[in-house]
Amino acid sequence: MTAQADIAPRSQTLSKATADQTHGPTILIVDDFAVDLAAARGILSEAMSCQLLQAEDGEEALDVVRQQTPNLVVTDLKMPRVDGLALVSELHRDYPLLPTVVMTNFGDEQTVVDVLAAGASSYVPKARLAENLPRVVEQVLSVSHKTRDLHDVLASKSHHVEEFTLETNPRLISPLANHLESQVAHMWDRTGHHSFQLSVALQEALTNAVYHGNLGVDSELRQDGSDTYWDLAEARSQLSPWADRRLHVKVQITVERAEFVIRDEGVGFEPSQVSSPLNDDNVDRLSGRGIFLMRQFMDSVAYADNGREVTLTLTRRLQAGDTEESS
Amino acid sequence: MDAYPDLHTAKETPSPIMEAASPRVEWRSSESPDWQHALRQVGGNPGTLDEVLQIFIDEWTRLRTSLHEAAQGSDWQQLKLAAHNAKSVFRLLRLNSAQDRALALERAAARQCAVTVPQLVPIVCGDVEQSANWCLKFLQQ
Repeated sequence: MTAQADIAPRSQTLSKATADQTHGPTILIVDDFAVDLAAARGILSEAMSCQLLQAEDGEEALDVVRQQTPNLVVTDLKMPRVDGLALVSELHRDYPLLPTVVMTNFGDEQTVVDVLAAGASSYVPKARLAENLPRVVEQVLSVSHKTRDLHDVLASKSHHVEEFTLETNPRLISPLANHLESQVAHMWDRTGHHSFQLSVALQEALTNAVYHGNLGVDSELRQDGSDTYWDLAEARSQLSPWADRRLHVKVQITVERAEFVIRDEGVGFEPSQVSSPLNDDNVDRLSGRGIFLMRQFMDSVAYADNGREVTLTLTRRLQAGDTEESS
Repeated sequence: MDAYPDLHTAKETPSPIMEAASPRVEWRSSESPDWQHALRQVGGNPGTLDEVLQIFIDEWTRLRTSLHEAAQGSDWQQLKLAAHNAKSVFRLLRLNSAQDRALALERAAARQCAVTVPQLVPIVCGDVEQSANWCLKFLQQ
């Protein structure tokens, strides 16, 4: 038996990449440890209608992607042969429209930064997998499901300005983030992981403004895994003064730069007081994860007005295949 | 760190899992699993929890062998992966001290620390075995 086989035990029922025969998106789960693989399978199959594929390391995952074209890949980081970081890098290079979500463990702090830079769309701490994996998967899938027909029509636009004043309704977050990302994609003729990452950053910024800003709910309420956080947000979205607050979004996109100004009407906060999720004491906590993702995915994230206003900027970078004319 | 009484003096008769264990481990943690936490960790479906626990019961000896062989052969990469996987099991069962020890072993392997690794490996192996015993008893109930 090889050393890898010792590390990556595989029971008979989990021996090869196999698919559950259900409807919905096809999701490939990659983990060398059968216990974690089964847990992730159970969580996703319980939470959403989807077809699940599985692979025990990055090398097998690449074979599965070539043969079965999943809609999304959920992968562990530490695996034999091709690890999670290498897998994300290869997928980003060869399949830029295939989003990836990374499952992280205590001790993976530095690798999280590397894997997001390599093209991962988002990450979920394994300690919070049951609470967050389905939500993150649906969020990322919602981005990747957008149609690309309009993309070509709008590609010739040179300057785009929009301004929104929205009611405090969490349901508007994802559509607005997707719309804003699509404007950038049309202007910059860009698809792939930059689009996913931009949309995730915008969703995090809008989520912070709606939940923490206008609705005033504290992310610490999510730590115990109960529904208190969501129940409180739902209740306040119907009550004054929280329901009376508005969300203001200004967007300016040129062929070189995109700027998003998001302002809430909450009580504000001190951004420098938010702990990094990569601190040892904070790695399994949810607080600070949104700001961390924004900073990873955008060129700059600047707060003003006591945290009530955040400005996110992204500068266009030429990709392989881009021409000076198209830029 | 917890005190680790001798596993075999603490029990009159070894469990099936302990009979299968070779070499026998020396330590036992004072922690015990949080099954409600484990159920939440797999999404709340008892069937999924049973499946996950059964997989661990089927595979724990390989995990322990991997820890031992990697340590003896100074295969630091394999040791890191094995400790990482042990850590996942302890996190699932909310065995916080065991999780800390597995993390310490993972970090010691990353540092290729030939002093700390031989001390931690038998302890983490004991944690793995004890976890398998708990899982077996849970499924038998």
